[in-house]
Amino acid sequence: MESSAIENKVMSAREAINRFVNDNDELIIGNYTVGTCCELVYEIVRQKKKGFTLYSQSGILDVDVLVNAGCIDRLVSTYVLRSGGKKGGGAVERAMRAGTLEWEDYTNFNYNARLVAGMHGFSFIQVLEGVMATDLFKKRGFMGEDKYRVIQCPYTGKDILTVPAANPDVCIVHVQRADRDGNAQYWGAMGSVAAAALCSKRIIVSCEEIVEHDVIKSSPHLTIIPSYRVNAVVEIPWGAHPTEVLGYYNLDRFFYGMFMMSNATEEGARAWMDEWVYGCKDREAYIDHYAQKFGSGMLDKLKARAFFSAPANYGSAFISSWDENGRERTMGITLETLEKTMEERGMLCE
Amino acid sequence: MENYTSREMMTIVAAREIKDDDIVFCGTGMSMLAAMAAKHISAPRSIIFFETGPIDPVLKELPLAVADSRTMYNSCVTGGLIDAFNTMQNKITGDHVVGIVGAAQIDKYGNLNSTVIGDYDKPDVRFAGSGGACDVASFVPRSIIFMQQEKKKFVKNLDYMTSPGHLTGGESRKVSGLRQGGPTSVITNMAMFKFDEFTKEMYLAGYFPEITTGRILENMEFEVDISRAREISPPTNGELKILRNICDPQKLVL
Repeated sequence: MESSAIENKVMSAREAINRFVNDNDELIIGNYTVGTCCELVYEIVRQKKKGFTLYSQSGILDVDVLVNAGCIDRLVSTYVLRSGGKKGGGAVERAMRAGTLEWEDYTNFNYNARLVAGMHGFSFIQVLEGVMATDLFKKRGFMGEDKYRVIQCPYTGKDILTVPAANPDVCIVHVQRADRDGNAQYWGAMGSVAAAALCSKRIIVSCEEIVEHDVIKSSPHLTIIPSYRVNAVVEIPWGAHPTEVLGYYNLDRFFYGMFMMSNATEEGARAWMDEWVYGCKDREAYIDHYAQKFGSGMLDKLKARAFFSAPANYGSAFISSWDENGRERTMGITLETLEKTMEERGMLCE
Repeated sequence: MENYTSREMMTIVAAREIKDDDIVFCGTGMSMLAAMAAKHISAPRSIIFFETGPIDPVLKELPLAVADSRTMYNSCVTGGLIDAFNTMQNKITGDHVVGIVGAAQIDKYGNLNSTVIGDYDKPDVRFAGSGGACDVASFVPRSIIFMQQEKKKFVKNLDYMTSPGHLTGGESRKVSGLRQGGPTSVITNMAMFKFDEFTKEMYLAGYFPEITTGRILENMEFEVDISRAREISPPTNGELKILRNICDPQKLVL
C-alpha cells in the first residue's frame, strides 16, 4: 500500500478560516485578554462568516470587531471591555439595544469550568455555589434552565451547583510558536487558553513563528496543544497586534486608543473596520499600512527586550537495563563481550 | 504637608488596609497601584496575584491590565485562571486572600453591580460584566471596594447583583454558604466605609480631610450611620514619595 502523504497543516489564515470555520458554528476565542488572535478574527470578518455563538472568556477588541461586523448572534462570556468608553458603550451595547445580540453572562471561574468539563469529556462540572446569591444565577438568557443546574452531592447530601460542559465547534488561538505539525507552545499568563483549545472539535493555531520540531522536543513543558489536535497552523508575525505577545511585543496603547475612540459610534466603528479589517487583505498588508501611516519606528518601540528563562534539564541516566557491574540484565554479559561475540559472527556494523 | 490628589489619597488609604502575608488579588488601575504601594510601604511580604495566572511578579513598572506582559515579568508562577481561583477557593490559602474590586453600583450591604443599568436583555448601559468579580466577592474573606462617591452609584436597589456582599445583612451571608467575611471596606474619593459587625450595614468609618459628612451623605441614595466617623489622616510625605516616584512615576493611574 502506498503510504499517504503527511498532511500539510501549514497554511494561510484565509485557507484555514475557509476550511475550518463554518457559518452558525459555536466559535471560541482561545486567548484570554492577552495575545489575542486578532488576524484570525479579522479573516473571519473578511470572509463574511456569520451566525456564530461566540465563546469568549474576556472580550477586548476581538469581540467588538466580530459584533460590529454582524458575525455574532449569541455571546457566552464573562466580560467584554466597554471599549467605546463611558459615553459610547461599544459594539456589544449597541447590538444588545438593537436586539441583534443575546449575551449569557458567567463568572470567570464558571466559564472556565465549562471548558474544563468539555476538555475532559464530562457532561457537567461542579462549581462553588457563591454565584447562586446573585443575578448571574437568577437571570437566564438563551440557555435557560441549562445555564446552571443544582444537584444533590452524592457524598455530602448537600445541594451543589453545576455548569454544563462546553464543546465548541472550532477554536481560534494565537500562540508564541508552533512546529509544522501543530505542537503549539504558549507561555506567560496561561488564562484559559489550553482548555479553550482542548475542549473544541477543531483548532486553528496562529503563531508568531513556526519553529523546528527539535525546538519543541527540547522544551515540551511549553507545549499546551499537542499536534494531533490541531487542524491548521498559520504563521503570522504581529498576529495579535494591537494586543501583546509575551516575549515578542507589547500592547499598542496608541493604536488601541484609536480603536476605542472609533468604536464609540457605529459610523466610527465602520470607518475603522473599513480601514484596518476590510482594507487590508492580510496581516502583511495591515502591517505595511500601519508602517506607512505611522512609521515603522512605532512598531519597533513595542518590541520586547529579551528575558530568557533558565533551561530545564531533561536528562536521564538511561541505565535501567545494565547492572552495576556493566552486565546487561537479561543476557548477563557486558557490552564488551556482546560486541566481541557479534564481531565473531560478522554482525557488528562499524 | 505636601498637596495631594484624591486619587493619591484613595490609593494610600487602600494600601494601608493591606497587611504583611496577605495574598492580594488585583484588578486593573487603582487596585494594582494600591497593592504595589502596600508592598513598598507597609506590607513587603504581601503577595500580589492576577486572575490571568501570574503570581508574585516583580512589578518593575505599573502594569496597565491584568494581562499586561509586566504582570508576568519575574513572577514565581505563571499559571492560568483556574490556578488563580484555586488560591481563593481552596481551604488552605483562601483565608489569607484580600480582593480589591470596583463596581458601577453598590448597596448598603456591599453587594455590587458591574453588569447592567436598566433591563438585562435591552440595557440602557451595558458594563463589562462580572469577569472574576463575583468569584472573588464570593470566596475571599476580605475585600476592599473602590467606588466614586455619587448618588447614582450608592443606591438603595441594584439594577443587577453581580457580586455578593453581605446580601441582606445580619447572618444572611453565612446562611447562604458563602465564605465568611465579605466586603470589609469601601473607599471613595471622599470617605471610607466599613460594615457593622452584627447588622452588616455600611457605616461611615472615616472622611477625607476637608470633606464634611454632609457632603458625603448628599452623594448617596441611602442613609448610613455617621456616629463612628473620624477624619482619616492624609498621606505622609514618605507615602507620597513612594507612590509618585516608585509606583507610578509616569502618572498612568494617578
